[in-house]
Amino acid sequence: MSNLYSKIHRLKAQGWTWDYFLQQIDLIYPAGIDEKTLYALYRQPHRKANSHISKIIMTLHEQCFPSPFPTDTQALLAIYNRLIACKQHSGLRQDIDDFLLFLEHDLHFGSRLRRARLNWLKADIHLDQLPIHRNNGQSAELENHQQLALHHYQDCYSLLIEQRSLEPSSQPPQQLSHQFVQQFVQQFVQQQPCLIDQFTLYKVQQNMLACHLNGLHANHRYQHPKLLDYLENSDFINASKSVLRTEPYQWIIARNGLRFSSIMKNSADCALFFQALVTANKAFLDLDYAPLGAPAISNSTEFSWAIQQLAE
Amino acid sequence: MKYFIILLSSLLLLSGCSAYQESEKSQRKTAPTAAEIPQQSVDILQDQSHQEPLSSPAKINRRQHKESIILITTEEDDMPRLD
Repeated sequence: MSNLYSKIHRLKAQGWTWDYFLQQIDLIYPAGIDEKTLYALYRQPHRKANSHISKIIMTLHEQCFPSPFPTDTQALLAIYNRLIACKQHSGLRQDIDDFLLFLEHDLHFGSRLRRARLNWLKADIHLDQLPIHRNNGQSAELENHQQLALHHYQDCYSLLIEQRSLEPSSQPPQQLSHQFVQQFVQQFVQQQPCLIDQFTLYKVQQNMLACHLNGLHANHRYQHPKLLDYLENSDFINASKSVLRTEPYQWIIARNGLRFSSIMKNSADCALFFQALVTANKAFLDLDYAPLGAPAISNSTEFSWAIQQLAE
Repeated sequence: MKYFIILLSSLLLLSGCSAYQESEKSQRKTAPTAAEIPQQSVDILQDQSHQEPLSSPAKINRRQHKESIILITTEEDDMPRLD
């Protein structure tokens, strides 16, 4: 499920006026979309768009913020996502095995970004297998897939960090005229449209956390020493804070930050992430508010410690 | 007398013919329809396959593999992956 709320905010945060936003939509779809629908999607995280509007926003977002990864790897990811979405597909298991076989060989070739994305995709496939083996009680297979997913996410993360270190600084020279800065940014964007941003790195980190979390049964996943150890030693909470500084409308990141701060029983971080959640949208002041794709905070046990702290 | 014998024999012949037709009609009613015939043959094939012993290890493995598939519904609070 795509998070349209964040995508619309990211597009608007470029300095677009509503008129300009609607003009850009008209360029993709001449009939346009109703401006009230666009405002509602901008203001309300629980608002669900129909598939047509979703497609328009996704296309516009892809034009303005293209993926940093090569198109062939993006196409492979799209094929895989369509494959697993089709539950009636009779040869699903065999196709996934064949996919893994292909990736095992292919992820050693090509550019750094290509290798990073193929490692990411292979890790995704292993991550998707965890709930099946967990629920079947197949602990050996679960452990195997978990380790492989973590291994490939880690390789991907290292490659992305390597790539990032080779990219020129995105900061324009200081004390220069506004016109020069505009030209610099335009040239820079044209030459280097695909930078590895903090959010891309965050996504890999969240997936690594999901490897630990989804491998455990729901009833004891939040007290498991392995998960607590990972949270203690990983940079996940700091990465969440870093993304929220640049993209304060990312309520999913703020919500995850609050969830894991609550599990770690860190009251300062709980207060910080709750404030971030309210900054993303004031509707979250109501603990019974349920955004699209997530239950209300008051209904989730993992938030109970944070709610107690906030009430004091 | 001659005419009487001819009349009697023709009556007997007619009654014999109608009796034959009646028995044919009743046979048609009790006979299976064309649509039912393949059903019977399918049942026979199913019975045969049910009774067929597993002849090769490959067949045994295939059957065991099929039986191990369990319909799974994942837990709702799993963390979704990000791409």
